[in-house]
Amino acid sequence: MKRILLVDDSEAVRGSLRQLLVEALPDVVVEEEAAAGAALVAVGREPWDLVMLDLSLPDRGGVQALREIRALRPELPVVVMSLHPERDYRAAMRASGATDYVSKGSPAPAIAAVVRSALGLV
Amino acid sequence: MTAEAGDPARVSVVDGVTLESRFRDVLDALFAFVGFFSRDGILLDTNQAPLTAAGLERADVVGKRFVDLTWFSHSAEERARVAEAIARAADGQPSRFETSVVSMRGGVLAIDAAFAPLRGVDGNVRYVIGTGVDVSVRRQAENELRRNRERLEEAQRLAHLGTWEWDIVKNEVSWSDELYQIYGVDRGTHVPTYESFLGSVHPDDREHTANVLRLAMQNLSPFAYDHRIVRPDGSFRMLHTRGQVAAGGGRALRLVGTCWDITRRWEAMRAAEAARAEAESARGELERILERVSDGFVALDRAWRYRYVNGSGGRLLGREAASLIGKHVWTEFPEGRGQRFQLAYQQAIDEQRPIHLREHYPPWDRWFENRIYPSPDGLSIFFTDVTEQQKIQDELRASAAELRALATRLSEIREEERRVIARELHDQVGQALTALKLDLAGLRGQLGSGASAEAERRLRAMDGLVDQTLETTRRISATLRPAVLDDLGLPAAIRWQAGEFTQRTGVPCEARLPEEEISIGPAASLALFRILQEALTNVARHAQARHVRVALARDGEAAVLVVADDGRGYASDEISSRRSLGLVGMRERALALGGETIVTGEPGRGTTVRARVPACAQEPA
Repeated sequence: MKRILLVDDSEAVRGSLRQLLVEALPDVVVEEEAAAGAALVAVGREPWDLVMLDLSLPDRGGVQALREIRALRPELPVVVMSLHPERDYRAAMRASGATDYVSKGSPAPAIAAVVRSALGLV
Repeated sequence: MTAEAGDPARVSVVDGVTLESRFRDVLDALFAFVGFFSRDGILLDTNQAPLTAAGLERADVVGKRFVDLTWFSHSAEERARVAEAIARAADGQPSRFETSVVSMRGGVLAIDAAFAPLRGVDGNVRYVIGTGVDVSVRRQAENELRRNRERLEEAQRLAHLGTWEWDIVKNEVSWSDELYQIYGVDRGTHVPTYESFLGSVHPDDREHTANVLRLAMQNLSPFAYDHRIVRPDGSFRMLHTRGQVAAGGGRALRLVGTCWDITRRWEAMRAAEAARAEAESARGELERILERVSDGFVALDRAWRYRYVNGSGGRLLGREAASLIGKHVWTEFPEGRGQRFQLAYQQAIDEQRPIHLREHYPPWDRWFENRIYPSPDGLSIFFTDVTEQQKIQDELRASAAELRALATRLSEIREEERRVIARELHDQVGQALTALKLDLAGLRGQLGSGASAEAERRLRAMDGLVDQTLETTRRISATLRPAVLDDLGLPAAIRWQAGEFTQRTGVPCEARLPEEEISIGPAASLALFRILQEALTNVARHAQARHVRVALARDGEAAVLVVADDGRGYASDEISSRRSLGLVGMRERALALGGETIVTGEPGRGTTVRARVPACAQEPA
């Protein structure tokens, strides 16, 4: 069983993504946070297999949040998400320490593939 | 006194070779020399006076050959002449000539000498008689007179002074040599008369000359006047003539006087007068000009005293111009002493170069523009009241600063609005569309293969529409405020923008970015990013470039962005004169942060935009 922490300030997006993840991966538990601060608390509190981190959060920039998560759990995989195409962001995000980057506008199978890969399921 | 001897003497000499004593007494009293010689030149006897004068005894000389005596020791030539004269007299030929003898007091005396034969009753020459008279004093006087005359003529010649005399009764005129020179005529051919004199006087001066002479003769009074003459060659001379009248029996007999050629002096005076008049006229003209100009003008001497103040200068200084002359500038205006006014004046004098000074005079709260020129006597200062001009300039400067602040503020407001709208679009519309898209995907998954073909088609259409809308939203948002700048920083944003440019225009845009992470604050990042966008917009619109290079680097405390294209380029003046809002915007962006944007170009060689801002600049207040 894999535990995924989903961090996004849009409830609708969180709901849709949770649905996608649950349907795509049979054995996952998805927890949600709406802000970077709360997400950091959760990361510090309990073990996770993956963090899916939105780039634009209300309390701090995604890159900053990524840096802080890395400081807490250097081995924890983090997939950064945003609306922007992978073309612009993927390399930059990997360079910043993200395990991977995925656009939320990508087709569902593509998103699922990125998550599976980050979880080491492929 | 030489051969006036009477018969008694002759008889006596002839008979006894000694002089009859009475006659001897007479001869001895004579100062002149009287000697008797044998025919072969032996001095047989002489009178006493020459012996006394020479300090000799009769025995020293008598019986000696005359020419061997010390009297002739000075000159072989005189010895020969005297010996010959004695020999001739011995042959019956008397002679008289001038010779010389040595004076006992030193020097040589001129002697008027005569030798004559003394014959016996048979008529044959028995002896020779010689006499000598000292004519040295007379000769000296004659020489002196001659020298004086020569000196006078020399002086006349040097002074261009001639003398003349007019015998009125005989109408005879005599001139000195110099006067012939002055009149330019030859002594050999010209015969001066009153009429010829009057004829050579300049026609304009002739009547006056005649009057002067007539009055002098009439009143028997001295006269002096200046007149011109015309020489035969047509040249003019100016003469100063003085004269006096010699009268007899109440009427003028002769006029005597001098003529002094003062042509040179007269010409020099005329030239000096002309120069003075010219200078006076120039000075007058200068002062008239200075009085007309609206600028103040003052001339100061080296002791800071006013030498001249024009009318405008007086008005600007609030004084009667004339009342300032001779006054001390720092006494009249003590507030200027030791201030920049005095320093500038001193500098102009010390460095002997013009100094320009625009300075405030606190007592009047006025600004003055001064142009200070060193002059031989001190300083010349042009000045004008520029208070109004200064006020306008200050206001202009203030309003320009206000305008810039306003423009900066407007730009900030616009940035903020864009950011908010971009964020709203992203967070609200974008997220909602994302959720919708994911849900659609989920719905398709749930329907699985049980969906009808129609439902499948409509789901696909919905998914396409959501994709399109999402892309549009994303594009609008990115245009307003590229999230990449906030999310990833300036280097990533530059790379993104370069990619966008290439994609949009087809012109390769190469981004050269620092390898390591570069620390550039948000304000500087935004400014440089907007400058990059503006520069690329210009390239796309105008440059016709084949290639664009973008570079970012830290240079000390500054972040430097360079955008260079290889397009048609602009001339420098075209760039500076262009009222392109784009160029102005780029400059203002950098200026607002205390940086600068420089645009350079050369026709055919492309355009380069170089922006430099402090890397850690704060948002302007």
